[in-house]
Amino acid sequence: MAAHSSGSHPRQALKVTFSIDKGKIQILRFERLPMIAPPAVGDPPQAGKNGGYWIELRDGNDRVLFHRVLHNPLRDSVEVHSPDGKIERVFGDPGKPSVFDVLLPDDGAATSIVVMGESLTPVTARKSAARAAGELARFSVPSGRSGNPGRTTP
Amino acid sequence: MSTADGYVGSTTKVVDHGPDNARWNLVIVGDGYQASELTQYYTDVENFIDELRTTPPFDELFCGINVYRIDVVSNESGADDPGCAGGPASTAATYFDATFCTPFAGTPLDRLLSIDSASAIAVASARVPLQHQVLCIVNHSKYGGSGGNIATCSTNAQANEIAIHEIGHSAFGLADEYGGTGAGTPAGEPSQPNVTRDTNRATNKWRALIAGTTPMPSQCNAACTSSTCVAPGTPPAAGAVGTYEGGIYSDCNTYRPLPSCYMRDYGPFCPVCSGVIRQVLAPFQPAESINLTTPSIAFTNVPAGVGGVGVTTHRAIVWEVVTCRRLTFEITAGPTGGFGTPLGTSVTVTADPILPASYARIWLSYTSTSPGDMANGTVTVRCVETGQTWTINIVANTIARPSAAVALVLDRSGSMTEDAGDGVTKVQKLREAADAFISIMQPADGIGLVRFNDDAQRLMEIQEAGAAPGGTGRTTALTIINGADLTPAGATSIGDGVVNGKQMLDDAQASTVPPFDVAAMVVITDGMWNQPPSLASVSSSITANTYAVGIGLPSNISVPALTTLCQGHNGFLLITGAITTDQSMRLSKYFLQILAGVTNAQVAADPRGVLDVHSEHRIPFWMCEADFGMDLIVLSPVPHVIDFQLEAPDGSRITPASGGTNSQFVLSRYASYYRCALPVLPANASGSHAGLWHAVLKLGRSTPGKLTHVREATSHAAYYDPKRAVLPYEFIAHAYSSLTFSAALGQASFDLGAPCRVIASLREYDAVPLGRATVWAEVTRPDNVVDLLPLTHEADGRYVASYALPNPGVYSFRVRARGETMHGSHFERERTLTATAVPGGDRWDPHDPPGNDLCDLLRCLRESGVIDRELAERLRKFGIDLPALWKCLGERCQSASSRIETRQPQPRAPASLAIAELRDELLKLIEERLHRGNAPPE
Ligand SMILES: [Zn+2]
Ligand SMILES: [Zn+2]
Repeated sequence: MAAHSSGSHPRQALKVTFSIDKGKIQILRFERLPMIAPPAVGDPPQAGKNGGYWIELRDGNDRVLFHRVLHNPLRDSVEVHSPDGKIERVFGDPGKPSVFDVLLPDDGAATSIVVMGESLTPVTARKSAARAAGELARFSVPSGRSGNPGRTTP
Repeated sequence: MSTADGYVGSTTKVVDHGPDNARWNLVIVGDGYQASELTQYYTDVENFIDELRTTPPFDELFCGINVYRIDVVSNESGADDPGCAGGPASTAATYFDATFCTPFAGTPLDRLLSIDSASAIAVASARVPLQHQVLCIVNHSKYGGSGGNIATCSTNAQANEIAIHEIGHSAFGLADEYGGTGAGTPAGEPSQPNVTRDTNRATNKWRALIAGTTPMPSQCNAACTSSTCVAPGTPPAAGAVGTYEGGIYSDCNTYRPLPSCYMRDYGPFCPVCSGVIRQVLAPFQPAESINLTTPSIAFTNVPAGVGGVGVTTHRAIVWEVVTCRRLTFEITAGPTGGFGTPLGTSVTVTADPILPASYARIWLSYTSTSPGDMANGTVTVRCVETGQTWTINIVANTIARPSAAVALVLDRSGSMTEDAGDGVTKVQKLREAADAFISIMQPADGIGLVRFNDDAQRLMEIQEAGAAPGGTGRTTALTIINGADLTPAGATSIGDGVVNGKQMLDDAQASTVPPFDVAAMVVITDGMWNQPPSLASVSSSITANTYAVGIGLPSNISVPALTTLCQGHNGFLLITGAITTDQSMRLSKYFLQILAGVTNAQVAADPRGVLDVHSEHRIPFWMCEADFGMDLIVLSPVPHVIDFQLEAPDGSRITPASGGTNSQFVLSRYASYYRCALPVLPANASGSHAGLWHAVLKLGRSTPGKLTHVREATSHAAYYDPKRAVLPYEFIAHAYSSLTFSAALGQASFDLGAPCRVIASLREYDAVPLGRATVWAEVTRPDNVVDLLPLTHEADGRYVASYALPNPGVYSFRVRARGETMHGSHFERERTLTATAVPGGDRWDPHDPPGNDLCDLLRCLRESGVIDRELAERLRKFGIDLPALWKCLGERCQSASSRIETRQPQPRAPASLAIAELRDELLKLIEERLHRGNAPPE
């Protein structure tokens, strides 16, 4: 896996800032930036099969153009490190909104941003047992250089 | 506590691997650093960068990464530590509110160190809009950190690992590979690339990395009681990628690729995680490029060596390389033509840790042969990874070793009869120094002599020195030096001496075929320029390298004029100061410093000592493989009573009787020396070249025979202390070398407190040294206190320092270098230079010397024999009582000269006016009386 040449990777990215608060997700703002968005790695996870959280860019025919795995988007756990090499994760209700950025390729064919995952409720507050991921929210790809589009579709 | 508790300072791109729009950009901010702690912050940032850069796979991806450092300054140092684990509580007002014991879901967690990440991202994005990842380093030594939107770590030595682990989550989407109770473990197959529930080798997401021989699952977790994992019959090979039970917060039914990984326990990233990081960073890697910047290599005009041993010069074939991987360049053919490869035939380069391009160098060497020889050849080099090849042409030629024509311009003014400070006259010192200089000169060098007092005469035209000893030019010069031509008398016309020296060198260069390669003039004076022409008026016409030695105190010598003369002509001025008995041969030593400067010899050691009848001195000095010849010199008023032998690094003895083609022993009147080519013993090359040598000295005969000369030493009372029965000596090791050291002093002002700039330069095989070196100066002040002055490396082997001269007098700078050559052998080099400071030093005017005209007149009248007994008698008849006048004037002169020597600032104008008036009156009086005296007495 030599990684020594890039060729012509597009240098246009869409930075989207999400907020998850009390079970609701919305786009706080977006910005188009002349930079390389890190690429997708591996096969796209699938609804109903995979767990965890990810974001997809889809085209007008609902085909997945791009995906990015999200780490802990609800911020419903923290990691406590230890110098002896033992790492521990503590789960709980963060008690405040989670705000995070996602850098996506600014692909002109993309029409929707789809958030996939298990739940928008912190893991310790869920009534039902864990289940595989499904669509949690869907947004139109915003236009313009930057802005605050708000949530578009549930 | 908030962003009101400080401010955001400057932003620096500390790793610049290319434009931000094409690279992965890491931004580092600090918290809890006060302005006075920014230097520590820079170190902490560098430490983190080093840690990341050396953690695989980042080591091979780093050229796709830029790093910015933002200097965020906090009002207080450190971080809040509420003491939730029982320690003492403390607070600090910091810009991003860093705190330990961050509460989560109502519980404070001691090592959870967090900051106001929204503020940190806002600062980072404002300064570096194209940032991909933000890291905050908190100035607190307690272990702690956190992840999330940004990575945070303390300055604890192990806390960097927290940040790298958290960047694994936020930038590369990696899951935790440690287990747990299952709380938080996703249902179904995890979406992250490095954890799985799938142990089927046909469908597993990292199946491409699983060997057919590795059992699946590869290992079950013994801590798990409710697993479906079936343990393999034979365990997997160590390090084999497979499926190892336990990961993503569950001990059961979840699997990771290897037992250990950075995402589990800070071990090396497993191959699956490494692969993900490589894939993510691949688009940021620059396109590879390799450019040969030296299509041909020329070793032009390399001088012939000494005793058949050539001078070796190195030149590098250089490629400018932009790459992220390791690229190896290797010689596949050649070099033909007799060229060498002193540092091997291949080289491997990686990305520069900071800059966009790195440089690959393969070194070639050429050793000079006989003058006029030419050499040419080629070498072919291939890049192993890309298959590109280059064929490089090499040319070289040898020229004769540069010969130098030296004009010694010698002061023989009346004051040279004075005591130099240790009971020996200045003229005797001068004779000894010039004798040693002439005796040690190389046979092919030219020597000429000029003397000056009221005006100047060419005593000896430039002539080749010839064999040592006994060459015609050398013998002629020595005879003149020790003869009556230098008997002191008269005034000091340095300018006329310089004009004659210049003209003599010009004449020699016009008539000698081929001309000497270097022309050098060495001016020796004890006085103030006081006869026209001025040095300033003759300086511009001089083309020779010009050196000067001032004998005596700087206040009596035309220091600014001589300094300007030397600095403008590649030379330097040395001022002896008052010569003391413990440094009685200082003038001779200074002559040898100049000889080294003229002939480009390297001073490798320069100690002095005192021998008694019972002692044997072993004087150590180092030679290195870059040295091809050496002169080992003992200065003494009676060198023939010193038994002088050499001991090679392997213990072999070299004595005056040894002979051999590579060593010669020469005994002259004030010096004895060995002139050697290296290795000295060709049959024992490794033992008689690089390494620690010793000069072994004891009283006795240097030539075979009985030890009868000790008594002779006792007759030299000025040097030999009969009470203690000791004889002082000076030892100097000159090396002829491809490792060269030069030093110069720059003095723009001679006034008290003015700075003096020391500049030194080291070259190894005519290139920037690859070994390690330390350069410093030992500055001996006029009060004999020694200051150590370190020189800092600027660039390209150049070292500099600045030193203020606080007290009046002579400062001796022994500028030294010590280190390792590129081949790892020890070397030492030194140069001695002097600087001077005088109150009101810059007001010295060569046209208005501060010397005492009346005293000069008095001295002149006394010493020139103008006033003989008959005239004195006639003057007495005219009413002038000469003895009384001498007494008055003598007192006047003594008090003037003692004022100068104690160097009290004094207003000069009224004093010199009074003296000038007095002089005019006196001259008028003498003139009148003499005029009348022409008439017959009444
Ligand atoms: Zn983790
Ligand atoms: Zn891993």
